[in-house]
Amino acid sequence: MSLEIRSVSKTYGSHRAVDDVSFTVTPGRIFGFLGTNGAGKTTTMRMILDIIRPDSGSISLDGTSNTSISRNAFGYLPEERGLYPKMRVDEQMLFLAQLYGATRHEASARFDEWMERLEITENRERLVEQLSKGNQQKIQFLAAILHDPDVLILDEPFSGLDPVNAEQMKQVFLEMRERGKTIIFSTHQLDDAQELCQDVAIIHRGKLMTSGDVSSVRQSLGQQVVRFGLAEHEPAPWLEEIPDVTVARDRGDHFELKVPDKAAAQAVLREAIRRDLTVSRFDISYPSLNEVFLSLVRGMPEESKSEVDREMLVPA
Amino acid sequence: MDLNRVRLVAKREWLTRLRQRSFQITTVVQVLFVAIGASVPTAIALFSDDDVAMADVLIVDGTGADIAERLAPYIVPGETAGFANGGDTIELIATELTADEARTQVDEGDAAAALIVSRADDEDLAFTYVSDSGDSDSTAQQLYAGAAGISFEDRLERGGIDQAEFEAASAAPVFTIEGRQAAGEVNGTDVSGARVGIAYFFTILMFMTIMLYGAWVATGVVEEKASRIMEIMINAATPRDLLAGKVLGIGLAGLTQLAPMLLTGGVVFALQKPIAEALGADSSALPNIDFGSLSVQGIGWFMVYFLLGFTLYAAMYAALGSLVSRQEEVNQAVSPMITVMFVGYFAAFFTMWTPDSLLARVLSIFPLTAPFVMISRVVISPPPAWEMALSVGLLAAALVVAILFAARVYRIGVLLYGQKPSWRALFGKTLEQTAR
Repeated sequence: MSLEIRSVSKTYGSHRAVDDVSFTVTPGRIFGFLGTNGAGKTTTMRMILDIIRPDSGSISLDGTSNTSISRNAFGYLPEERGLYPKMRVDEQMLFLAQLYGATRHEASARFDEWMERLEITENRERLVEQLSKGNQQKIQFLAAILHDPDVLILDEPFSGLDPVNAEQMKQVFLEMRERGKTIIFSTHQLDDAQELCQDVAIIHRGKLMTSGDVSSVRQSLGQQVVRFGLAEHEPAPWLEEIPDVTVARDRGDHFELKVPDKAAAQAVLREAIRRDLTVSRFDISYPSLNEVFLSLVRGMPEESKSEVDREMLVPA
Repeated sequence: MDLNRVRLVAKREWLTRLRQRSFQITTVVQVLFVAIGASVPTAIALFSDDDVAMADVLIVDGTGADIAERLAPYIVPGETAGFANGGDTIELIATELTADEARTQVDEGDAAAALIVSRADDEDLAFTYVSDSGDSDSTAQQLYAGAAGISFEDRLERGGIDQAEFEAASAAPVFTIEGRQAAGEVNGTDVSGARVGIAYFFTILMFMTIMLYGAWVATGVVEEKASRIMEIMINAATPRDLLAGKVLGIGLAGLTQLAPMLLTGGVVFALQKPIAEALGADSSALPNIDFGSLSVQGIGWFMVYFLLGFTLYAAMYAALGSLVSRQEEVNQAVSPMITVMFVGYFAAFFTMWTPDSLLARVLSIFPLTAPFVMISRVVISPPPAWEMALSVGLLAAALVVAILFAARVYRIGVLLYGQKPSWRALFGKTLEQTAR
């Protein structure tokens, strides 16, 4: 189901938590929602889930307002993880799936399947508080998907996972995408986003900075990054003399250069050959999401301390 | 309102309580205590049979005038002697003991009292009554009446007046005593102690259960907030469903605990007469009340007021609980409401001896105090039907208002962490946002 967010705003007191945000999430694609802590990600997600209502704007699923959509269309993994600590895993999962509207039979079958898939079947009858942190995370994820929702809203799904478990979860994500689910997840780990997402939106201080498919966002700065290495790495002041080329960093075995277009990159290569240097590395790419993110966010004036504090208190 | 979701939440709450060891132990202990408590009338009857012997009054007759025989008609049959140590029907025993020997018997407790009769110098009969407490017991009064009569007859005899003629002239008048009201209901103030005892029981039980199970609701809400599972619950179901399910489930758990206790207590209490008789106690010593109908009425009305009262207070407990984030803050959050409960609770005690006073009538109709005050009135002196109907009707109406309001507060409250919402902000929000 296609999820459309149109000009949504939410104000707490005098604090504008979400300011005129619009974007579209397409089924079968993974949508990354990126921002610093307190940028307005969780508030936006709660508004999509109709836990809180926006002051203005609309949210719809395939054209139907989210306020009249059945609860079981949504699966939610909250940033603050929480389950009944003294309840058995199997009872708890079936309870939550049924609360979402699944039948006991469906929920039970999916539970068995997923417990095996995530290799945690031996924990079926344990109390949640007896599980390791990683396994609790997996159970928490099951709580979001056992009712087979069309839309998955996952708030920081990888935080607290070790690399092995994180990899397993990423595989599950990709599988969910194959099944045609509409997936939106928030993160401030931009490598995860770049690896998994087809589309992203960057939100900062309640405002949407940019959104679109990953490659167009990466191109949006109008810059390309050239990683340029020489067989013998040594200071190369001549690089700065080439028009339009900026040395961003000396990475020890190569330089990172910023260029506006491919022609400038070619000039670097020609100049190296003219100087009879042996080129060991030369690749051109668009800036990473991380770089785009940082340059967008750094362009913003600093937030005042009081505003940050208030945002931590408000259910953002 | 999605009944399926309400049922799911309620079932989880109910099962969770039932599985707790503390819940199971409390349930069993309560049944035992109530069975014992309901047997108090039988116990009293048993003890009164053992402790109190016939009240022996020794008649030391130094006149040879058959005083013991002539006193007997003056003793009221069945009237208790009223001695300080209790006492049963007066038994007159003619004895050959001397006056001093009789005094010793009284001192040593072998006889309750002694009446020493002799002739004074002027030939009149002289009576000396000896007992532990002197003239403060009712036996002295009965014996005085007898002594006066015998002295009179004795003087007539000695004066040579024909006794038959005199008796005809001084025959007792026709004097009938007619009771207009059953015992315990005279003027609505002469209240039976046994009924007050039962009223105490139901009032205390009402207060304790509403407070205990209400606290379960509040701590349950805070637990869900603290463990953050509320984030998922609030997405899966509406706040109203969650609230209704929680109150219903804990109410059912409460009933599961109350039912065995009330059933046991009710049956034991209703059967006090047969039980007392089977144990050989004097069943006439039981209070003069209808054990069976009092059990049925008391438990019936208790259930009505418990269900309505608990739900009313539980909804408020949930709303107040939803406004705090940690267990330590729960007590403070619910304290204004507890104060209101205490008013009802104490008012129930104050009005127990005056169940038809204006204060009792007003507080038994006002919804927040009705569960405590009305249950005590019902047991002591059943109020008119219209007052009962008004009380139940207002309570039910207050209940609906409380639930609707609680659902709104709940919707805002469950997502607030660490903030202290001002009431104004809360009311503002609840008014501006329509609850989902």
